[in-house]
Amino acid sequence: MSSLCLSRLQQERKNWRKDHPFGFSAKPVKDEKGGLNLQVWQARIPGKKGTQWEGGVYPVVLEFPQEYPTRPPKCKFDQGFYHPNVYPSGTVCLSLLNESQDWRPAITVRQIVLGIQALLDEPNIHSPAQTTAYNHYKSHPDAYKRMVAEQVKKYADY
Amino acid sequence: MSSTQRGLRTLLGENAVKRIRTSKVLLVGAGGIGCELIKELVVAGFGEIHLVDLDTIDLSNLNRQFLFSQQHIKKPKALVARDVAKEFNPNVNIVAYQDNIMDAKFSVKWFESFDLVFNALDNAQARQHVNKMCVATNTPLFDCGTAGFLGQCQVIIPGKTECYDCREHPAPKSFAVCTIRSTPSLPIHSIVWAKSFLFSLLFGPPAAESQFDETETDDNREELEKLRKEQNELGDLRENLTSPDFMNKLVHKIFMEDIKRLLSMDAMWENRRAPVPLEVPEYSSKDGQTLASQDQRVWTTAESLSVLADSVERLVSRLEAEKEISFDKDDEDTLDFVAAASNLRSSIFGLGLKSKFAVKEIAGNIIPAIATTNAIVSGLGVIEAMKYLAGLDADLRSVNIWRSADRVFTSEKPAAPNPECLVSGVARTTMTAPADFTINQLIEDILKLKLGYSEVSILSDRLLADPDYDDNLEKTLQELSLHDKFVTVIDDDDERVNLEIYITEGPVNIEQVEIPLRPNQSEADSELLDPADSIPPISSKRTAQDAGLPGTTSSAPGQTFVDLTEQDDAIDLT
Ligand SMILES: [Zn+2]
Repeated sequence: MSSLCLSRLQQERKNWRKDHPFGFSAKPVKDEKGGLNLQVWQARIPGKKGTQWEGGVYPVVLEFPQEYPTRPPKCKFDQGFYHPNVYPSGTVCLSLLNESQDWRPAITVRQIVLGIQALLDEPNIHSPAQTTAYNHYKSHPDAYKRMVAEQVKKYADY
Repeated sequence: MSSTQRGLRTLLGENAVKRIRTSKVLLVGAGGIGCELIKELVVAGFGEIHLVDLDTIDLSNLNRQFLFSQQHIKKPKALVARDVAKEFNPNVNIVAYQDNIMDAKFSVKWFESFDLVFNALDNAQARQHVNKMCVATNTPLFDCGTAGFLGQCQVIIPGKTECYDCREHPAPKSFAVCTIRSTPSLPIHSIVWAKSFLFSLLFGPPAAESQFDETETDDNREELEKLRKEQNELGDLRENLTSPDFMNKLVHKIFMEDIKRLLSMDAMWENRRAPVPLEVPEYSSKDGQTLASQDQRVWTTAESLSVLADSVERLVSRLEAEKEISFDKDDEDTLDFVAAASNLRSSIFGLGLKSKFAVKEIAGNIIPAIATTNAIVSGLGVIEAMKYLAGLDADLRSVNIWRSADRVFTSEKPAAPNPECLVSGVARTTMTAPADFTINQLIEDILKLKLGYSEVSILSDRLLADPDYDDNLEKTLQELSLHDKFVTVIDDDDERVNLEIYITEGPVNIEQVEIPLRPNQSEADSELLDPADSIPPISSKRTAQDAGLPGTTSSAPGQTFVDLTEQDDAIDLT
């Protein structure tokens, strides 16, 4: 791993340890050699208060490439996560995480998880990633509401 | 004494020639630049040369790596280069290693034994590794690199000049999953899709088991079923690879159904050109092989389908013996598949079509290598090394080669080290400790008691301990295999610069070290510790994508540092 990538991730870890938004968690995962692998983080993102996503805490895996922070991390919900901007594989489609759009090397882990939290209730219909949630969101708001509520329940005591 | 050496004596003096003759140098890389460098080092009379390269010789190397010829194909580069170069000057002692320079056996002690080092590498990771070892051992490094007409020789004198990592090097551009999967806007997006998504899903390592759980209620069963289907359809295709109807299924699914599904998400196409599902003309896999050899012209849709059908037949017949196949630009079956599939996708999205030859260049991330540039850069590297050995430190220059009518060469005095550099701007020391020495002892007895730290994080290639992570405190250096490696100590209060400790086995002892305070501490902090929860705008606009070829470098003098890294192929597009 490049020293820049490693040291920046260590800095992110330190900043997160000392201060992070309420209700969120984010931590590098254990690796088999005994230690924490700074390139893969497990985060848990709560649904925002006052939105239909409130009450659920959604696990997201952040995978940082060797070229981080020049390149953004890849962020994944569980497979089959229901949301218009999440691929069936769980990968999040978000301009903040797109090198050709809004990604900048200065963006922090804190900003990423807050960005994903905001995306939950404010999907971007111009970049859909799955037909199921997209069609509901656009044409069948009742079904959309019901599906989101189911998912909140599923992740309620996660 | 050869005429070259007589010339050197006239130019640099007897002493310098003697130093050249008695010097011990390391050359990392025996490729395009390495071959040129070793030839020049040998002819100039450098006494002892150690040459490291992991690769074997490939046919495609022969047009520029002049030490190699037909009979050497598949043999190790380092060993052949040694044998051939030795013929130029039998008095030189050349030691060759077919090895990865990042291997632990090339220890700090080993690096320390050299008078100077040449980098002739094409990947950033190895270059950074050698740079770090040179800075840690105070060994001068001459880093040579080229990209087509561009070239550079950077002079690195540890402690006095910038190191390779003191400036940022641009990484090759990557593409977002959404661009590749849903909204391609350049031919390269189709090529990446064909290579990294479609090809690897069909022929690559099998995907992990689907992780859908079974907790769904009757209410959402149908929807989840749909979502699961969307996820699994390609897996289903893979199951059907050997069915006689496979090609029809593939074309129907990939170039028609999937495109219709994308079209059904109509908001996506409000500000973009919508794709048009493929209308499938008559085609036959029988023509595939002939068409595939016509690699300089763009194929029609029917021709691409023929090549696709034929390459699928070839690939499927290999699967029995090979289990899985990975893309390789020099593997015709895989290249034909990617060339045909990418062009079909490009025609659906109204993007430019490419010949197979052009696809090979893009998919293989080929940066044209020019033998002349390699030769010039190597010559520059050896000249700078000679200046160094002659004691002409004030005359050392880092030199760039540009493709420019005004000025081909620009040179600059190497700048001072960047105090914020993670290689040059850290404190270093060595320590000895026995195998059963624990991380807790390291923190308490050494770092806190002896060096006066309060809280620390300990890092190797992974995080070993910090104030909120104590799993490893009772583990020993041996258990964590930390001997003969650097560990990084980070001051949790951000006051001191990082400390790198090289640990070897022995009785507990640490070398005295002064750990400077961090430069412009407050500035550095404010950038990362953004107190506001400011989220950059989540916009839906697509910015101009001027990606071009991966790995291309800027050619304006002074604008950016030439950097030559290989594009990382290991992208996962699921
Ligand atoms: Zn540096």
